[in-house]
Amino acid sequence: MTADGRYEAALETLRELQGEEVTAEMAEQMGAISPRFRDWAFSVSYGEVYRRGVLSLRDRQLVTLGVVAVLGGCESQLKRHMHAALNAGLTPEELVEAVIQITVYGGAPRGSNAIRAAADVVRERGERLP
Amino acid sequence: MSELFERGLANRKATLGEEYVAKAIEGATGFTRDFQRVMTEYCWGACWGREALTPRERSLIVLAILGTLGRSEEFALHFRGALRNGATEEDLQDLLFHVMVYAGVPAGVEGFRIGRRVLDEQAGAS
Repeated sequence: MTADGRYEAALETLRELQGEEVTAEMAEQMGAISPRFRDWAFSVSYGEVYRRGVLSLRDRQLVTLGVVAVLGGCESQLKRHMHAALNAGLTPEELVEAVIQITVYGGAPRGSNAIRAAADVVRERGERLP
Repeated sequence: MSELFERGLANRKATLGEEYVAKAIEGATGFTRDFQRVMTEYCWGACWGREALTPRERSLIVLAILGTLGRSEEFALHFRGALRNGATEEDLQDLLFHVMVYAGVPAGVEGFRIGRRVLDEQAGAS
């Protein structure tokens, strides 16, 4: 799809983070909005930045959660990245700890939204937050 | 002083360095003294040092947040803290690429500007 193969690389990273089904769903949904934007956005984030190879995927998800949680107004992206964090090996207990850190540094209202998002995400996986 | 404060003080020193923390505590005025006590308890006693995530991992989350919010002075302080907690220069490079994409290019530019300054200072001091 892209000449430099970065879009294909992006899908490979996404499959690792989100699984086959969600990756296909994300590509389809974004493609229905704008394939041109999807190819560009996926290529630079999942095709380039995510593949720099020093930080583990788990570390990357901790970093991304910190950013997305304090930006606010991105609750659907926050949930998606929480799923990815759990897929990358974070436990529900560790997710709560990340939200505690987010609460102290990003403020209580963001923390309060983040813990609700975490509870929804963990519930979707048939578990409960500790 | 409370046990929570003592524990917080130890965690704070481990991340931010003995010298910086001693200056903050000893240099406190009537206006800042109670803040120093409560903040050390709340942030460093009741949050940092908890189980499940390592200090290095907590540093990564904190740097991502500070870079996103544009808290530049605190970012410089915690950039040094992250290195002290075991993150490498390359780890922090990767982290700032995420900040660039997710928080916007200006946040990434600012983070690299400060990170570079901190690394230059450390190279100059050694």
